[in-house]
Formats: sequence, C-alpha cells, structure tokens
Amino acid sequence: MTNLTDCTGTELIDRFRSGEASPTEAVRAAIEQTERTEPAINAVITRMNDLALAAAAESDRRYRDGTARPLEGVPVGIKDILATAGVRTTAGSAIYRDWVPDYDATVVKRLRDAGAVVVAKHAPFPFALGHENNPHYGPTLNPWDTERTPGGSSSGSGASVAARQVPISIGTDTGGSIRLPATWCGVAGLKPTWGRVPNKGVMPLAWSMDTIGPLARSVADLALVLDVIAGHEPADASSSRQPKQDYLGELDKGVAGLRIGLPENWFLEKCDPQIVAAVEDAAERFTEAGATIVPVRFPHADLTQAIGWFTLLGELASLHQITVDRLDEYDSGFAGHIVNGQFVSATDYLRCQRLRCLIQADYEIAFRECDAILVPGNSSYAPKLADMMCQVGDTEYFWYEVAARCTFSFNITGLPTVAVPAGLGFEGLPLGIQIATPPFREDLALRIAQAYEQVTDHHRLAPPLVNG
Amino acid sequence: MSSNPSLDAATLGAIAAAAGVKLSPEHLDAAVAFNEAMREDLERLRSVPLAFVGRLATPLDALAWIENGGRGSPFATEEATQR
Repeated sequence: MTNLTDCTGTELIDRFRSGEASPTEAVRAAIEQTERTEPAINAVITRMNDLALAAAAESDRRYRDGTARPLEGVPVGIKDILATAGVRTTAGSAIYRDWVPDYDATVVKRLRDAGAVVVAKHAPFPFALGHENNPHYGPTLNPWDTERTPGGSSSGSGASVAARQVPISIGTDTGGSIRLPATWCGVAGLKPTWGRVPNKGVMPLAWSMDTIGPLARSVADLALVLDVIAGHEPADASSSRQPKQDYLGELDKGVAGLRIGLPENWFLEKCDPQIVAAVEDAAERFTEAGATIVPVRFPHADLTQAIGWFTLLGELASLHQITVDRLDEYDSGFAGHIVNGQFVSATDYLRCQRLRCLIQADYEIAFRECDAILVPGNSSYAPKLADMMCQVGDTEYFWYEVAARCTFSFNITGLPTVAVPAGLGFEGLPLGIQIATPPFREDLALRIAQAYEQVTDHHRLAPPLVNG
Repeated sequence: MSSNPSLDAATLGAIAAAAGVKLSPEHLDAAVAFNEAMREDLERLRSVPLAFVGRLATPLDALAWIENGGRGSPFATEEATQR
C-alpha cells in the first residue's frame, strides 16, 4: 500500500471514504514527514500540530457521521502571508514576526469550512519578493538539490509539497510565485485569473497582479482546491462576480478538437534547449490526443518585464509606505525594492497600466486562433543559492534576468495558467510546462493539463530526499 | 541607444528626501545601479505611443478586459490582427 504521504489530496479523500485510512492518520503522517524532512529543506515557519490533530479528529467524526465536506481531513499548508486566526502570520519578515491575526483570510476560511486541515504556515520569500536567503528564518532549500533555491516566493509551499510534507499548499503569484517554485520543485501549480480567488486577508505585494492559488502533486487536486476557494467575496473589491466553472467535472474531457497555440517568439527564446524540447514533446502529445497545434505570436512580449517590474515596484512602495522609516528591519532584498519603488514616477507607473492593454491585445488576437497556449514553466532551472545563476543552455544568467520571463505576462494580463511537471533536465533538476487560457477558463487549462498528466509520469517523480 | 541620462545619487537622494524617505549611501548606490540597469527598458516603454483622442487605453480598460473574458482591448484592432 502506498504511504499516506505519497497520496494526493484526492487519493486521501478516496481512502477516507473507503475507511482504508483516517484523517488523523494522514495528519500524523504529514507531521512525521515534516519532522523527517524539515531539517533538510526549512519549508515551514510555524507548525500547527496540536490544532491540526484536533481538526483531524473532527474530520474523523464527520466521515463516521456521513457529514464529510469536499476537502475533509486533507492536510494543507498555507503560505505565511495569508492571515490565520490565532496563528502568527509573519510574511517571512522580522517586522511581522509576532503578528497574530484575529481573522482568517477568505481563502483560509473557505478551506477550513470545506474540511481541510491546516498543518503548517509555509515560508515565503520575505513579503513575497525579498531575499531568497531569508535572514530572519533561514533560506528554504530545494528537495531536489539542497544547495539550490526552490524558487519563490511560495518557496516553502513548493518545497513542502515536493517533499511530501503535505499534498497541497496555498501560494500566491504576482510575477510567477506559484508557478516558479512549482516548476523548480517538480509539482503542479495554478495561478487563477486575477480576481477569481479573493485576496482578502493576504498581505499584498502588488494589488493589481496578486493572485492566490494552490500547489499540489496532481491536476485533480488543483481543481479540487479551486472549486473550494474560487468565488466572489463582497469585502474584496478585486474579487470578480463571474460565476465559477465546473473545474472537476470538465477534467477528463481530453483535448480532442482543441487548438493549442505554440509561441513563435519570446517564450522559446533564451530558454534552455531541454526545456524547449519538453514543450515540443508536449505539443506532440497533444497532437496525438487529437488537438491541433497552431503558431501564435506576441509582438509586444519585450515590454512585459518592464511593465511587470515598474508596476510591482510602484505598488509595493505605496503599500510599504507605512513602514518605510524602518528599512533597516527589512531584509536587504526587499528593502532594495522599496527604495527602487520610490523612484517610479506616477506617469511611468500609469503608462505601464495603460500598456497592459497592449499585452492583453496580443493575447486576445492569439486566442482568436487557439483555445489555449502552451509555454515553458520556466526558461531555466533552480539556481544555487550561492550565486543565483540560472543555466540556459551553455549560458548562465542572474535569475532576475530569466526567472519571470515565461510567467510575468500572465500576471500583467490577468490570465489563468496551470504549471505542470514535464520531466528532468540540467543536472537532474525538474522542468515544466504551462497552459494558459482566456480569463475565467481555468476549467479548460486544468482539462488540458490533466490530459498531459494522464499520458506522462512526470508528476510521479519524487526527489531523493523523499525516499532517502 | 538611450537618449536620456540616468538619475545620479544626488538627484535620487533629493527625490527621496522630498518624499520624507531617508536612504543610506548604500541604498542610494543600489538605486543608481538599478536606474541605470532599467534605463533602456524604461525608454522602450516611453516610446510606445498612447493616444489622447479616439480609442483610449486606461487602467480601467485592462480590468474590463479581464471581466469581459479577454475581449475588447483598445489595441486589438483589425490592423493589429494583420500583423
């Protein structure tokens, strides 16, 4: 029988329903796996073992009573920038080291109301953009190679899911912060449409791009979680009123008849050849499954890094104005971003907001020719923490030059994307692909990702740490 | 090739001071380096024409585009489609 920690959330629920296992057993297994692997990866800021075991006992009772909810008894982690009532929420920072909210973020409340058991607060880069070598809590390390970063800013979420501490963790994504650690840790990640999942209760990084979503080891788990956390929140002005799709019901419909766009420019340039090959292999698999691959172009893709960075810096400088006189309490990385944000002029910031329409137009035109777009999960692989240099073929780039190259445009446009593992490349490190769709078509992105997962084994690969 | 000079440390320091933000010499040096590194990208951004009359593009259009299912960008014209 498979270890409980190797099970996805969906598989755990099946076992709970059949009586093969109980939520308490699954939570105990998650706690033990965390104890075993945590010294190597440092993915957790706050363990919630006692609270988790109490919640698991309640879930045990609900399965016995026949009142189990959609995520009943599934152990989950929460990136430590989402407020958790009664449990400190640090943002991976010194400034909020002792902050204990008296409320749950809407997403946390929805997860708890659906029966999920929160077992840990997962380490982020400080304030979701600070230094990868977190000076306050130590760096989180990649389970595939502990000399390397898992990526960020949902670093603890990616590392923890890959290390089988939990099957699901909630992350946030402003420029790639779900998809980057998902890809570099060999797990799946979903960045929903901006506004699809309420941001109320999350510490903001840049409000016009911040998006909450799950990391997990199967596409089905991403769909299961989205079904719980999506939907309008009246107390959040950024929250959309668009109706939810049937994310689980559409999963197994396959890709026959779909048109999938393959970029002719930008995404496959300055991209490692093994990653390009993985994208092309995915395109072949979609073709074999009945989809048609069509070429698409993004004429203004060269603007995306600048639009993304100036938007991010302008908004974070505004948000951190309240503590700008405490720069010495921030990590050096985030303090630098706050400083740089001081010099983004109002006209340049607003120019970026207006130019977002231009990037959106590229996608609008592309989507006239296709239903979804296939791109790399990332251009490169997890860099070593010692130098943060990313390998692209025979060339190394500092990670800021390439890490967000395949992700930022989806935050600028607000489009949903699903990142899934696509094998191993340079030095046996994970690589991945992304599927992007029009706004509020997460159902379609998940369905295509599911079709890929069903004809590959990449999602089953585990880092040596898991079995070591 | 860039046409405008980068802002120097004294200018950046003055901008920060005017906003009530005190910066260390190290922060100022890093800000000068960042401004220099981003100068070409910024000039590329500033080179894109944005209309004052006719179909405008505002931040509200970007939000509406998302809510409208990815349709109706002011730039998604027939001419753009022919590119």
